Amino acid sequence: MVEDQPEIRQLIRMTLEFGDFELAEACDADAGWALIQRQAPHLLLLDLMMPGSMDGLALCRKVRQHPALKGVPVIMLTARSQQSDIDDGLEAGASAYLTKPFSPMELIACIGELLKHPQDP
Amino acid sequence: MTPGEPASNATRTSDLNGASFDASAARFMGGLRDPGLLAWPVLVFGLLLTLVVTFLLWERLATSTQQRFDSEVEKVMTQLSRRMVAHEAILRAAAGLMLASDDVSRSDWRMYVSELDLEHKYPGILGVGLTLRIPASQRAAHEAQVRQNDLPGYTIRPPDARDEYHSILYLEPLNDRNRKAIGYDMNSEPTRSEAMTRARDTGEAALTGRVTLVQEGTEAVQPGFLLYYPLYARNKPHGTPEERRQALYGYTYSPYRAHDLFGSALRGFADNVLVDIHDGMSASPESLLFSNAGGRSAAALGDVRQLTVAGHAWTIHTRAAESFGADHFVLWLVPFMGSGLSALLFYVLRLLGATARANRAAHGVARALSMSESRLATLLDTAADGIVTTDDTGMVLTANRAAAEIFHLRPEQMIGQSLTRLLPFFEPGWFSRQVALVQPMERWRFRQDLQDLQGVRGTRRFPVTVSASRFTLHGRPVFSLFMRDISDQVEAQTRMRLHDRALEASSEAVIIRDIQRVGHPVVYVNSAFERLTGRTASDVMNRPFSLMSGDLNPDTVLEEMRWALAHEKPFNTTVHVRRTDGRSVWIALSSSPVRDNTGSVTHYVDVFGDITERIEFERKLIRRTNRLHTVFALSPDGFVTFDENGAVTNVNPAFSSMTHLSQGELLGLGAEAFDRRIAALADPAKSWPELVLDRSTDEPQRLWLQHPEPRVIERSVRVAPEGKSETVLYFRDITQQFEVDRMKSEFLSTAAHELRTPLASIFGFAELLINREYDEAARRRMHGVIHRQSRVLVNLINDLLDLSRIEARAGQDFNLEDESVKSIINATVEELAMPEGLQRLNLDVPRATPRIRVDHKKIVRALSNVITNAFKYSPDDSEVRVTVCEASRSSRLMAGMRVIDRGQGMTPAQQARIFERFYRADPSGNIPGTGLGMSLVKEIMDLHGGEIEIESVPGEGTTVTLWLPVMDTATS
Repeated sequence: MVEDQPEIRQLIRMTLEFGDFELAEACDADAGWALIQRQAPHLLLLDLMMPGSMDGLALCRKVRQHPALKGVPVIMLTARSQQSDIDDGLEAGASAYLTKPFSPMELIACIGELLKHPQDP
Repeated sequence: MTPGEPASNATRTSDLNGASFDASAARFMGGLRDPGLLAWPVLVFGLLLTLVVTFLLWERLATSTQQRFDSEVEKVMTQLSRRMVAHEAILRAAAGLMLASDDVSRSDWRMYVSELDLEHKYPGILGVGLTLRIPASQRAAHEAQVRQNDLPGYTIRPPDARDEYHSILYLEPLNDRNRKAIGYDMNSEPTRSEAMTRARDTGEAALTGRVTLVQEGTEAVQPGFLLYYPLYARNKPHGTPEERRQALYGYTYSPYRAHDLFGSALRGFADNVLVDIHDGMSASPESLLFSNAGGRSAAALGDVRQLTVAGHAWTIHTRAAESFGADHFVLWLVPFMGSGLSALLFYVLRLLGATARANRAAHGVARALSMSESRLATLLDTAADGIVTTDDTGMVLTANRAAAEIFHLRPEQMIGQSLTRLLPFFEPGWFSRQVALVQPMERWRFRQDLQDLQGVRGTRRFPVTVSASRFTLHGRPVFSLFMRDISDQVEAQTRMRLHDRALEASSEAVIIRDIQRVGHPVVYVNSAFERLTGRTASDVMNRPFSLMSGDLNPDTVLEEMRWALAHEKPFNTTVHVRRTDGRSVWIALSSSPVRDNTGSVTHYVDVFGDITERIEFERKLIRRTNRLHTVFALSPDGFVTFDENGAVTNVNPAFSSMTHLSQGELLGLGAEAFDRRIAALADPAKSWPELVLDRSTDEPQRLWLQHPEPRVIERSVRVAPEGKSETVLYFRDITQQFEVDRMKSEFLSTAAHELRTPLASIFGFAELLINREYDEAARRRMHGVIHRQSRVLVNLINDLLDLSRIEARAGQDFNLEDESVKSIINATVEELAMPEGLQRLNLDVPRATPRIRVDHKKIVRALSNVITNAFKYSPDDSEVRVTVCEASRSSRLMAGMRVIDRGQGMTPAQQARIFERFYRADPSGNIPGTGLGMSLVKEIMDLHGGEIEIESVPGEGTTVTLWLPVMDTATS
């Protein structure tokens, strides 16, 4: 999970704590990219608007260009809810796009779905 | 002209020509009309010519003879002089012989002389001799020595006693004649002595005058002379005459007989001339040396010259021999022949003159007849009407030039033709009918319709009038026809009718006035005139008429018309005219003078039409155009118009101020050039919609300009509905509207995002709490988050509402009051909703602070926001200091409330964005805030006319000063 807001990080942490997940957190895109390269996750949760040199979209594109990571499912979590923003996210390679406020239950379902049917590389 | 002489018609022209040639030739030849008159002048001229030629010929011959004679004389002179030089050379050589040897014996001398072969080579010379100078003292000794040597009888003659003697010692060839001379003292005789003295003194050869030689006998005595050459003693100087007299040894000499000498010398050189050679400077019988005349007679040519030989002069008199001159035959041939020929010519001309006079007399009557006929023919040919005579079958007998020209024929081509072929009306039957019907000498006149007559010029018919008469000649009827081609007349009539129709059919009124008559009465009006003015033709004909009614037209128009009339100029004008029914109409009047052949004006033609509708329409149009121009000029939107050719015709001020392109720069540009010009101002990052003029745009096109300042402009194209004509471009500056839209949308999107973030926590945790079981501690933690985030939401909404309220009212609801800075700071500190921070606050406020005029609540809110930020962005234990300062800023005295922290500070980039809504220097969420605090501060300060000063260094802290204008001096 790459997310700059501590409250949202806490919410996601608590949402996932009952499932069989191993969660690694980063609070900006640069730290997130380092974490992703180190741990090679099965799924990514990315915030769109983050401080620092990269936003969520840029990080997503980077992941998609990496040969070992391009098949990893990516869920965008963002307060941007306009259709143009959703299109931007999907174009950048997001597998799913959830707008804040989001339902923790929906998030769980979405994660389960994506892990069951991983994207074709 | 009589019908019996048809042939003379055909040849009349050539007769005439012949006669005129005779006349001109006669004029040209003058006297040749009677050659006899020429005879005398010719004779005089011939003789004069002969005289001149003869004179010239003789002159030429005389010159030639003189030249020949001169050449002969020159030959003689040259020969004489050459011969004498040769003789002198012999004496020089003899002298040389003497000097070369000590002792020259008589035999040596003889050998020298015989070698010369005098008899053959030098005829005339008697011999070469040597005479010695013998002083008186040595005479006896000398004579003795010579007698002893070889001449026993030797003695010096004449024997008289003298100072010195000269004796001929040697003289070869020593014949009998010469032997007489041996021992003769030549110095004793004066003529010889003179030459000898001269030779001695000059050292050159010297010749004597005429002498009789001692060698001469008594018969055939010839004149003679001698030549001396001096011989000086070898050992004595002889540079001066005196030295030469002293040094004289003797002479070598030669005696000459003149006849023999000159006769031989001139043989072959003086055959054509008579030469007399005289001794001395003058010619006389006594001085005559030689003459070859021998009784021959001489011609007139003569020449006298002097020839100086060895210091002595001869006079040579040369005369041309009688046979020397030119041939007499040649001399007289020319004058005789010339005179003879002149006389012959004289005779012949006299004879011719007589013949010519006879001929003239014989042909006088005939010529008079011919002249009379020519005159008649000329008369007929100059007649303007065609004149033809025919016999009673219609065959043309005669035709004059005009008749031939009518049918484009030559007169001789018409003769013998049947008239029917030229004028179909006159078929042969017509003539026979006339013979039967008509009395002799009666005349008729007929006028033929144009289609009844046909010319021979192709197949074209032309109208002609004919008048015919008939008379009888030699008992036979002859018809004479006068005809005239009236094509031009008919055509002119047709044209006139055409013009009449056109005038009548014209919708323009036409009126013609005769300006040569008093009052310029009307002589013509057409029907349009009646329609237009409401007057009938009979109302105005033959009366003065003016279109003008004075009250309706300005004086200038009448003035202009009067001027044009006075100066006979055409003029055009527009006048206001009242019709008979009282209605006033506008009339366009065009008036022009008509001139006759002499150029003087006879009539005026006025053409005018009703243009009331047009004038009214034009006025309407002008009013409308003016309105449009006003709209264009005042409109805040830009207008550019193009004409039907796509060129810019108008640019309104609003467009110029939008683009900073003046009217002058754009007027006349084509659509493409205009578009390029505007596109040059465009923001290169945005695409440029190409300008298409030929259809209206459905939606405005958006133009993004970068220059002269960034603008967003909407462009619309409106094409006039009737196809390709005027086009209007409409430019609307939507920069401000666009900017507001953009900001609004950006603000909304940002605000929504900021609202969604706390909502996400509230929504998420609430859902977890509903769906899952948590222990008490977890539940409380989650409720805490929900509560905290709810407060964030409330703050956010409050701030937004505050901001929008302040912005919307723009200070109008401010409750301004005078207050000291200190009281504001105290109030702020009291209201701070962060009791835990109070310990960190260090208030460094003087007792007396400046007074400022502010809305208390707003300023407290602003200062509170600044202080709260200082707390949030600095460590919990660090101090936040609040001070008051005063300074002059922007030439105003201002009081500053300064808040200083030792916190994390800001980079310049962060500082630049500090007043942006929702901007937060720390977006991590660790520091609570809405991102609207500083926006509020900025809004409040701006509305108070204050300033915000921020100094910040990352990692060291930030100082924010709120400056406000001071009201008056500080109070406690």
